[in-house]
Amino acid sequence: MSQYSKQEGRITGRPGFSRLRMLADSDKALGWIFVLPFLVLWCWWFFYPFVQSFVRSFQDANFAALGQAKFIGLENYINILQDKLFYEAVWHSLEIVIISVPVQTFLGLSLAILVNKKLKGKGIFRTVFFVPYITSQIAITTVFMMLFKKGTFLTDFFGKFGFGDVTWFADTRYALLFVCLLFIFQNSGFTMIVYLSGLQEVPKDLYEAGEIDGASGWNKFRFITLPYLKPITFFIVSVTTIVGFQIFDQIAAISRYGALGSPAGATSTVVTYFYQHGIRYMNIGYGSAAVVLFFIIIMLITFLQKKLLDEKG
Amino acid sequence: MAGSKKRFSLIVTVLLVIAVALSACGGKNNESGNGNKPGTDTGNVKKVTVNMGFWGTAQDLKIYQDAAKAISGEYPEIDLKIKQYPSSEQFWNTLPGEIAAGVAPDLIAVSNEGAYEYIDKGLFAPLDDLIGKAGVDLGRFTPSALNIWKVNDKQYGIPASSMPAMFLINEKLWKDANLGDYPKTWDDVKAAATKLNSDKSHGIIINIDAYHITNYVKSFGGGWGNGKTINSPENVQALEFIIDMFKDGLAVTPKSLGFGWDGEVFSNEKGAMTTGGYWYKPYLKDANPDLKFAAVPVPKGTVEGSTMISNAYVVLKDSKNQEAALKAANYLTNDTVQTQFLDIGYNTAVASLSKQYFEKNPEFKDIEPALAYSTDFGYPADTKRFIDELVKQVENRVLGGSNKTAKEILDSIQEQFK
Repeated sequence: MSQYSKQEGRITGRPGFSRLRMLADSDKALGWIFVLPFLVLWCWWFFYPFVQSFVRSFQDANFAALGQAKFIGLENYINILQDKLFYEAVWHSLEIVIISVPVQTFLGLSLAILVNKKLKGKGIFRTVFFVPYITSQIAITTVFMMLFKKGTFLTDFFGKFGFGDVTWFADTRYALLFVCLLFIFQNSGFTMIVYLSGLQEVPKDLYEAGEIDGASGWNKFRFITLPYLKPITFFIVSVTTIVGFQIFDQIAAISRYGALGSPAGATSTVVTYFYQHGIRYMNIGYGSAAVVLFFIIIMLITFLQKKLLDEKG
Repeated sequence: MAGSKKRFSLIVTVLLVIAVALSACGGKNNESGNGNKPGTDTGNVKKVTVNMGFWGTAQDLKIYQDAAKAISGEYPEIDLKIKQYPSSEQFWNTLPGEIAAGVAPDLIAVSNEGAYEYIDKGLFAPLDDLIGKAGVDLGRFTPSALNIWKVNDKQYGIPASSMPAMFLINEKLWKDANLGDYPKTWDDVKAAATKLNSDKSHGIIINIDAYHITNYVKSFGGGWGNGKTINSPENVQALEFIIDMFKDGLAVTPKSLGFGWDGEVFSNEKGAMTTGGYWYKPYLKDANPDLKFAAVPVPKGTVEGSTMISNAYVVLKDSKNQEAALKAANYLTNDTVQTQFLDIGYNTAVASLSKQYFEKNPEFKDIEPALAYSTDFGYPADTKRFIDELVKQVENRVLGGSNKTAKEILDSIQEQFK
């Protein structure tokens, strides 16, 4: 039995008490030790590269000769902000987020409510809806590409609603919409699972009290369920927004054998813009500046989302 | 009880940290990349690992793997490791990152289509000083192939193959349409495409890709001139022809049909004609063994012209084993290995063997005259940026509904590559 005096902040027990044991008994120290592996990896894989990217963004740096990189101040930033392709890429990223995030959120909530009910075989439904999220993105993209080829039943079906019977990912009018559909399909299982965990946390007695007061099903959902799910909604909207901005694999698969962002730049996003300049053209200084701007954009949007949800609540 | 739980957690966490640290350090000694072991004693021979990277077919891989097993017969000090990249696109996109991270191969098999950018940026080692030491006999290779890999009087590659681009025709569809001789000019092609166009198959496949566009450009007497002649009248004329073929509904892109490249469309018999290369032979053998095709030189626009694609073994500048890498390249260009490549459709750059090429690959016999006039690609030094811009603008015109003329497209690209 250790005798650690919190008041005095020192060991008062038997002599020879090991420092390790003292460390193990300290909640604060133990907390740090638990997060240490993650912290080390996070610093190594995220923080250090980010700092390096930030430094590179002020340099004329090429992959081929990193040793010859030279400081050029804000030139990379000025060039990016003068490049209309950058704005095109930002707009495409925003389009993906604006279209996909509300649909995913709504779809996730609807599915969660559905599978939260006392249904026969709801376990199967849960699995079916969640499978796309854990399946390889390239595999799903390839399947979608087969489904949305000219002459398939899907393009034929959409053709009845004014869409052309064309290969969607090869048509500049529909290629971005195709990416959005893919993203919605893949991610809705994730939003469903998160909402489901939230739904199961809502206290049952609140619903019972609502029923006693004569609240309708809609009113119970509006005044009990939704407010309870607010932090979950914020989490979902933030995460799917960030993931939406980071979409890359699907676009790379669509652009197979062609220029990234194909067809004709219709699916270029901020990430593909960075990849093209930073990696493909080896201009890592310019690419890093794009990444820093990208980081600022995501930060701003997340901040705005939080503010908006806080005000609404 | 709570204290012992905490101590247990602490031990587990410490073990986890140690495991993470060990696994993080563990990658240092792997054998990939040019950060490999400069020399390891194995018995009496000091072994040097040479990592070789390439993209290609399963048949190529088999030849390389067999060569890697046999190399110790001639070079006991070399341990040759083969790494296959999934596609040329993957290869060219991955290589810069690998070079920056110090894990790129020592030796790579590359085509001249993307090489100039890397030579210009100083990523490939000039081989002149190493050739003598490694015992490479440049006299064995055809001068035209050697010259493609000579930039500013420095030799950057040991050529493995060189072959002109070609024009491929589906024999059955051609005969079914009662067409006579194979086309010699683009006008012939246009006339044939009109007859070949049907519900099941398109007249011609035009892949919106720099390789294919460049062949049209060369057949109209044009070329990119390393960025100096992008908007030349000849190039404009060639691009106008391509755009007109789409406007007239005679051409289709692989993408519009949901395919990745022209070979897939051709093997599925969804297109009757296409520009292509010798790699169609091994590809079609796997994809559609029953398909009969004819190969003729790229049709004439205003002149006889097409691209010459040449593969070579190139040593990376950052390789720690440049001499050993060049010895490996020398081995891979020996008569035994090159004969194997010859058998699967590569026209070897080894002059003495090249004579047998058209005997062993009779389907390519008609291409022989094109060896005399086919030339290098001549892309600008910023090759990938140029290719992306060209593809994007032409895609926008063909697939995106842009109204830009061929001249406007090439003028705007020229503006970026002054």
